[in-house]
Amino acid sequence: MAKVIVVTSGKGGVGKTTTSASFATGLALQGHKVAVLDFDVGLRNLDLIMGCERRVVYDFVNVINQEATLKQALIKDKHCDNLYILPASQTRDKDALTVEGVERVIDELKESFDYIVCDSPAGIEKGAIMALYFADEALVVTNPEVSSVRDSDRILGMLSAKSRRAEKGESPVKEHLLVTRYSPKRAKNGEMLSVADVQEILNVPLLGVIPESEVVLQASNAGAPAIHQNGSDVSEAYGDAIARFLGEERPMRFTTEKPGLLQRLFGG
Amino acid sequence: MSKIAATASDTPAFDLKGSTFPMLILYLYSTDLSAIEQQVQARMLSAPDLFSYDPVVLDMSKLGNQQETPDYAAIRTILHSHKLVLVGVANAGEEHAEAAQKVGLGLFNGGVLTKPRVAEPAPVEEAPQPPAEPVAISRVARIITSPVRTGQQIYAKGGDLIVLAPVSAGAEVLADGNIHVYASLRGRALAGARGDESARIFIRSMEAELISIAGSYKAINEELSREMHGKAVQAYLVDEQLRIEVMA
Ligand SMILES: Nc1ncnc2c1ncn2[C@@H]1O[C@H](COP(=O)(O)OP(=O)(O)O)[C@@H](O)[C@H]1O
Ligand SMILES: [Mg+2]
Repeated sequence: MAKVIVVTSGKGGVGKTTTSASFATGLALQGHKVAVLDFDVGLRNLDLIMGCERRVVYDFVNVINQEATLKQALIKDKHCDNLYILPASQTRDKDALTVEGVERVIDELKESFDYIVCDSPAGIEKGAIMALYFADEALVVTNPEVSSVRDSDRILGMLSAKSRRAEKGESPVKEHLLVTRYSPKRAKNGEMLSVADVQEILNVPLLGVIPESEVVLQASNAGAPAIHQNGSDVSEAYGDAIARFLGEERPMRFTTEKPGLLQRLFGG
Repeated sequence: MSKIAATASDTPAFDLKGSTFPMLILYLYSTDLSAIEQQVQARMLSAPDLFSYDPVVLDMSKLGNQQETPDYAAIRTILHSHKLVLVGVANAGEEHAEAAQKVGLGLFNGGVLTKPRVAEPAPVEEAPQPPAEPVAISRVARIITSPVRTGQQIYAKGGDLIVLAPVSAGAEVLADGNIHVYASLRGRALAGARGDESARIFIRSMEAELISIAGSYKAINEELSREMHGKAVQAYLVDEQLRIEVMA
């Protein structure tokens, strides 16, 4: 049975698109058939992060309006054979997406994909609700700061009240917490919340911790999701999160400061 | 029971029976319409969906004799815009009662309506009275098992609210009766939302932003929060003053 995963947060700029790209890629690298959908109509970022912006001909809104078929609009990823991208429209606004239209697209995708990853726009209004409406599972992307945690809390409320599962009285959307842009050093100095603080406030199972790293910017400039930066902390951290999502147990990493060189030589 | 076969013409069209429906009482302290309007508005602001056309009785006992006759029709309109239906007046002097009758309001007289229960112990009665007819107030508790998130509001109308999961900062839980939170309360809790001064709030882990009982509230300032943070507390009214105490 195909699963719909929404990547959501409430707040903007926390790493939803970065996560959507790497998560979708990671699932595909594990052999699953994956489609990743950009719900951020009007901004269109996902295609840039995936490095396929020059191949966009049709977009999500064209498919909704039946100006193009899904097959015409889906872009095959340049690195993975079983990964496809449905880009957002740059020229339309969020009202262009309708529940019926999105449902039709998702139902059609379910026929041939294992996972459908929905990259949500920021906010708690219509666009964000549309992205989470059909979700079976949710990655709640949160930065270790009070405003981001507060917005994630709001979006968790939306998942439990406004999703289709909630409206139909089905089993609730499965929630996962992904703390991103985490800097153990700054958390230790009290400049940021710790992972434990975030988890305590949100009360959602922790799927992973993605460290703050310049690798993300480099990856975005290179037009390839950060998970492809083999050996980097970010790539490893996304790899761990995906393994946990698929049922594997892995110890949490990147939550404490790396020992410095001197510490490593002489012991802490 | 008579054995006369019922025919269409003598099938009863109604039954008239006594009853003791619970009813809201609005004690009037002033007849100044704009003051009433403003304060009703302010009171409802925190919970716009508190009422759904519940009947309410205007009690005049707290109004000094010197006051002019209230403009009942205007008060009825104000209350109606907040989903309250004015059905009558209680404890009105002759003059006030006559005016009420003229605009179609019912008259309740002292003793018919019970005062809202208060926290102080009731005076001991000489002889135990036979139990009164059970009052039709619903004391069925509403039970919430999943977290109440930022921006959400949960209201237990006519009864208690029991929450078995955390209540986030920026979330609000309301009940006409008591509120129990068997987890951390980081948002706001308002018990006795329709004026029951005997309502209480129980919290497993106190981290609240605001606590209120029957309209008396306490914003939780730094000092309070230092004293009680994370502790199990209960809140109740003593002489209309909100008291919050740590439970052993
Ligand atoms: N782990 C990270 N480390 C450093 N920068 C990051 C990380 N994750 C995201 N960013 C940066 O944060 C910004 C916002 O990320 P993005 O994924 O577009 O967020 P959103 O989709 O939630 O708005 C981008 O500039 C991105 O490069
Ligand atoms: Mg984005």
